[in-house]
Amino acid sequence: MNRRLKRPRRGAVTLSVGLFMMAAMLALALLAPLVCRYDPLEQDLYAFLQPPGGAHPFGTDQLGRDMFSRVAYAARTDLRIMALAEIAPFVTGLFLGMLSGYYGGWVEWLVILATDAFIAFPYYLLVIVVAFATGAGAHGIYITFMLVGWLLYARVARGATASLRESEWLQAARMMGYSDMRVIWRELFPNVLPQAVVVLMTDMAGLLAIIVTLGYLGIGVTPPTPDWGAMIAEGQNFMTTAWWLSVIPGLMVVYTGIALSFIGDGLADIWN
Amino acid sequence: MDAVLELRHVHAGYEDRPVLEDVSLVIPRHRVVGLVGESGSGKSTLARVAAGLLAPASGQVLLDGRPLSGRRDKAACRKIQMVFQNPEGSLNPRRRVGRALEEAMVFHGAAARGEAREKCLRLMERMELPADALDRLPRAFSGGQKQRVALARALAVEPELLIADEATSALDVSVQLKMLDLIRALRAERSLTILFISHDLGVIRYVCDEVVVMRAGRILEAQPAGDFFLRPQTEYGRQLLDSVPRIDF
Amino acid sequence: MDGDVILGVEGLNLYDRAGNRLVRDVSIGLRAGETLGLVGESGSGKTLTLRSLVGLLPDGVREECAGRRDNPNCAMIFQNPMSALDPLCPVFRQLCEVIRIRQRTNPAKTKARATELLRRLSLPEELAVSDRLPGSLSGGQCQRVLIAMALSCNPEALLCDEPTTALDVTVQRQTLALIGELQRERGFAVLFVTHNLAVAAQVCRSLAVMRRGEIVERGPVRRLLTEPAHEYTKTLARAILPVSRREA
Repeated sequence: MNRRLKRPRRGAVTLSVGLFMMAAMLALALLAPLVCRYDPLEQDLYAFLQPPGGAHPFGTDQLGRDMFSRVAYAARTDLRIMALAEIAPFVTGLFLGMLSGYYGGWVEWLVILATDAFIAFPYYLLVIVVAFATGAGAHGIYITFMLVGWLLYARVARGATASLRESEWLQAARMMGYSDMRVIWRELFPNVLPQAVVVLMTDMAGLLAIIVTLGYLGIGVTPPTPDWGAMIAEGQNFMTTAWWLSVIPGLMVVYTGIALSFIGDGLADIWN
Repeated sequence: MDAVLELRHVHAGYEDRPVLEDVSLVIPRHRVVGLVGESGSGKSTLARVAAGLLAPASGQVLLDGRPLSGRRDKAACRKIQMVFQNPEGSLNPRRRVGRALEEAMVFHGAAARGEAREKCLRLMERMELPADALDRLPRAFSGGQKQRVALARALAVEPELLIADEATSALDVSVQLKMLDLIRALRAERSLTILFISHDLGVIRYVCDEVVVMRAGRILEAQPAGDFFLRPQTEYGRQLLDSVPRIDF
Repeated sequence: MDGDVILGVEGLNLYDRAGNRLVRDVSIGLRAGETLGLVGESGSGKTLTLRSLVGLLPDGVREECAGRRDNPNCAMIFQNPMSALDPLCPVFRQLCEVIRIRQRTNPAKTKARATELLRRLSLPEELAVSDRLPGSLSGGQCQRVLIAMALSCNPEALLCDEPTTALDVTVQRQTLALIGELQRERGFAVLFVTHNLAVAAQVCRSLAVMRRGEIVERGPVRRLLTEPAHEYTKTLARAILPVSRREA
């Protein structure tokens, strides 16, 4: 059959949309000090609970703080925590997963055991327990993710590596006499990375949900630092009169989650 | 006789499944040894043992007369290279062909860093591959081209022994012929020693000097190709030969 | 050979989703008892043509047929016999099922016919009483089970898609001989698709050579191999690596 059959470019479209959405969100977060006309903490009791429009495009909250500034600064906080909490687990998980998949044997067995055990473990419960133990702030999230976040990537990387272990090109590389580290780094890594990145995108969306949940429960980011979760919780009291207090930060979370999933889906389509 | 590789009473297999039983084989220098057998005969396992990808359970593997044991050192790796069967699996899908080839050359000192590119270009040309092949990813090649790239990678480090495990079996017949002609020509140019594994007696006859017949993990007979095709020594050899579809008018 | 064309198609064109032509203006006609070899390399459209004849085109392939087409009661055997059988269902049960559905027989008669077929195809008769799965059979045995299934449909035409490519040479020889014998016994037509000219030459009297979706040359085997007219047929004929006969 005709091999040149053009693949539908669906992946590319999804990816571009996701990247564009994410870029807009990152721009908002990074440029917050430049684009915001108000300080997110500055109270203006003469202009409280103003609906969106005019001088305050997203309205103001019960203390007259500008919602746009607060949402933008909250993006800074939440996205930073999200990124920082994922880096270490991603790198360690990927590395350990590739090692265990490459060598097999008891190391691989251990990783499978650990990852399977944690899949059955209630993740949220652990985060909440650690968050209580370490007090409010982002520490709880960082520590929990250091402890268990890598398992996901180890699982993915191990699976991908194990499926390539017997491939002929890997054997050819081994026959070249390259050291194991060289084979893992130069040959395996470029093949395992794409899958891990796809999972990273999905997992970041999940992590964002956790960060926001903790903020909502009051055991995450401490007020008055703006945080989407805490904002949703505070706005809840005014749900009937000032819907924008909860809905706008909520939409932000949904928007970021969708952007990340689009990137993940798009990458998965393109790389397959 | 000067042997590049010699197997002495090798037993090998996987976990609980022994495959090779008491296999002894000599691969003389500058000869092309054809290893023929049907599926499950153990010829691929023998290739893996010879290539160092599978350690024998017992017996000896000698390279240039010296026993190899445990993990092979760099020099030993350089001396034996292999081309595998499946064109789709033979190249790392995410590495540009040129980078892989240059890396191998530099690693084994077959070329200095500065001249590796030039050498790769000449090699590509010799393999009758397009000039821009070095900058492509494997998916941009046809099956026949992929196998020639794999052959180029194997030859890049100037090995003494080339193992071709059904290297042309997955190709279309006309493409196969092109690759076989290339192997024949390269063999003369580079005075290669080749262990050529195939289930196809026509192919074996076309490229090999010696024929070794395997069945059920054992070597049944081994003799010069000319003799084998006229007078196979075993009943199984005769059966194999008689089963080849022939066109005789 | 005389008689009407029982299996055939005239002016067949196949297109993919993007509208590229995969098969161009192919006409094939087979009379009862005739054997035609369809030879070509990968991508030549030979398998697609065969699939179009039995109505098993893959998704997304559109067909246009300018002339008549004749679809008799036909059966097909495939390249990879292992994957053509359900790996989790006993072989004998699979065979019985085909017989029961195609011949509408009662259980006792079904078993009797299935056992008879096992015997005819020299398959171990203990298959009838054991629950052996396809995985415990060799490739050649699986292919014979598939041929048995094909026969149980009493086909007027047997379509073979590279039926021996996955088999060892010794088994290939037995299988080809078996197909020939059965054809003489039952008189069905055979359309034999293969990339191997030598195999085609053993089974068929006439050949059609396909390349890039077109039939470039057709004629009796002997003429095609001794004096090929088309350049591509010459290439194919040259690519046959002969093995001489051994001394007796």
